[in-house]
Amino acid sequence: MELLLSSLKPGQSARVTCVDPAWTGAIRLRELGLVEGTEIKCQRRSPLGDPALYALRGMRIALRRADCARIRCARLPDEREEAAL
Amino acid sequence: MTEAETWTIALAGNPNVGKSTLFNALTGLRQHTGNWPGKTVAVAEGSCRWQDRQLRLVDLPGTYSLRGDSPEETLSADFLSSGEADCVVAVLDATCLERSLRLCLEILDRTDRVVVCLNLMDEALRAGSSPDPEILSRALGVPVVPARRDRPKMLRALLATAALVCAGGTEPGPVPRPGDAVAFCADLACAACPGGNRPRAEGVDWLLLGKYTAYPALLLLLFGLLWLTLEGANLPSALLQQGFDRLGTALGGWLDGWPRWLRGALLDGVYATTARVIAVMLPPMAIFFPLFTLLEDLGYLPRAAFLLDRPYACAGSCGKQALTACMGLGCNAVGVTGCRILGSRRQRLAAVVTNSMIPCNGRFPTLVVLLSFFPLGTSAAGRAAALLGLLAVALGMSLAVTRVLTWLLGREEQAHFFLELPPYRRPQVGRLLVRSVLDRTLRVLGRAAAVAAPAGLVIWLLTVLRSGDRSLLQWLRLGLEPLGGALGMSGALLLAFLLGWPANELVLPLWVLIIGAGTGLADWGAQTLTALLRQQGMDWRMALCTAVFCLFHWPCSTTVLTVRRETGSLKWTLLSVIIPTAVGAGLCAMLHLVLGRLG
Repeated sequence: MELLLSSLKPGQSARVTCVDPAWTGAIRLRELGLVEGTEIKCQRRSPLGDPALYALRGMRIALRRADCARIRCARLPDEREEAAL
Repeated sequence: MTEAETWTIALAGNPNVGKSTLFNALTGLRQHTGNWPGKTVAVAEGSCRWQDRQLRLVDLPGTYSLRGDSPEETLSADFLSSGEADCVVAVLDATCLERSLRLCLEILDRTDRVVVCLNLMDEALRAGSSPDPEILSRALGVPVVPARRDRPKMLRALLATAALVCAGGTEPGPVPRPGDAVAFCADLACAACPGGNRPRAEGVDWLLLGKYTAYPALLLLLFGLLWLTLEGANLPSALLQQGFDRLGTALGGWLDGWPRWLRGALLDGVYATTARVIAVMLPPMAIFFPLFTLLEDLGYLPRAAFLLDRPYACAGSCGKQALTACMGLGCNAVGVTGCRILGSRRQRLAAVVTNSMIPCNGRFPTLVVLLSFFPLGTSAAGRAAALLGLLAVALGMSLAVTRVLTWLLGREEQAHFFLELPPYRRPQVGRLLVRSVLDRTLRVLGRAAAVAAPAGLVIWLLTVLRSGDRSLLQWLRLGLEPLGGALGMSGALLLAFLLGWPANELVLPLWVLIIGAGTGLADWGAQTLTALLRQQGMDWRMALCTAVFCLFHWPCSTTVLTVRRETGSLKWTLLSVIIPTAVGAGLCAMLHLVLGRLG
């Protein structure tokens, strides 16, 4: 199921499928290791709703909703769902 | 035998991998910042000895890449390409190997005289996954040395290896030049450190970033910081004042035979002002800076930036500006330098201009005295709460000005925002104390004391030089009286703010001199200062206007110079003086009018 990273809810994980190549931030995120195929988990949102905290490649970065709308990803099953299977 | 030639060793790595800690450990805190020729970005330089050889250590700014998007990246890239370094120590974060490896590849692309330092091994061990230096060394073709913050002996091994590379004693293996760097780093990180790429532990983030607890925790931490600073500073301040009083009396005795003018210049001018500044400033700084450094070391500041990003985003900036505002709490000049972390030019300029609107801790003592005119200001906790309120006002005003500035500067570049949240780190208390006392307290105090002496002399000269029936100082004071009155203050207060330009800490001590109560070194604690102000006709209205003006007026001379250096533009330097002053004067005039109407 494809969705925008911005609509990933806290606790949910996804695999990045596409980062808008026309966007200047894409290069910066590539340096941080956020590229196609990266597993990413939304950890929490700021109490004011934006930005949100994501865990990827062993580190944690805060990204804004507007920037996350440039990133498409595919949902991965939650850890809890995995355990149930 | 001639002295062997000096070897240059550069430290490069991602931000926040303990590079500067390593640097300070190697150089034994004998650090001085040097400006690079033709560059405005400061690089820390230091030296240490290895056997009979002098080593020059260069601490390059932390970057994520060497692509040259920011001044720091360009600087690091230029330095590494120039071949000036005999050896580059690529500092890797053992707890976040993959990200560190990508920068390491870029460094290897430019030079093969590299030693990889696997830093933060202690943290990695605690997290239960430590990378294998052997595997890394084989894959990268260069020596890999592990390092821990708590094992100084391992640093000797690092130096030995670096010296070996400098001497050309190592044979670099084939340097990897993979087509897909991201995948290569992921695979290598996986091979060197099985299971090491787990997401970092959240620590107490559930509390400090929690939905309902985050902002109360932020307020509580700030309140605690201010309260401890104010409450703790009372007693040492009083003791220092007593000590300086006694010393002043003794000095007066020694100088008894000296000419009257010289005695007056030294004792009433230089000594009185310097002593007052030190007694008022030193205790709050000696408490504030270690506590602030503690918050920094714990890793709380990026979290505050995360929490404050939304309001800053509404003002057209980003949460990283909150970091510069936090640094401004300590010292505005440091805050202005910190504005380098902001990505876009307009955000950087807005942050530089608004930084002095956040009160630095040199202004705290003045604000505290003024707060004692309000019912809340009678207890330490009340004063801390009131100070917190003033901080909120300052923050709100700086946000409003930022909004206007970013709007005027227009949408010149696409802004994107990312902020890495480091794991909570256990602070090293000893190092923390040394660093906050040496690097911050003494430096700021030294600067203030250095300008206090000449400022005191100038004031004293103004009091003795006469024109007609009044001293020059009285003429100046009278001349400023209408303007000071219109701003809800007095001529003497405005003159004190003007003459206190070298350092904000000077304002009240200078005021005492101006009104002529300072001669004779009477007792001048916070209580008597309040009494003195009252006696000079200050009521709560005037105290409010003065406090507002204290928050928003021209930045101190050091900050102005820093703004000039950082922006490289006279226009923006002038604006950074004019804008806060206009805001302060406008607010004061308005308050004066409104409060006057109310009776």
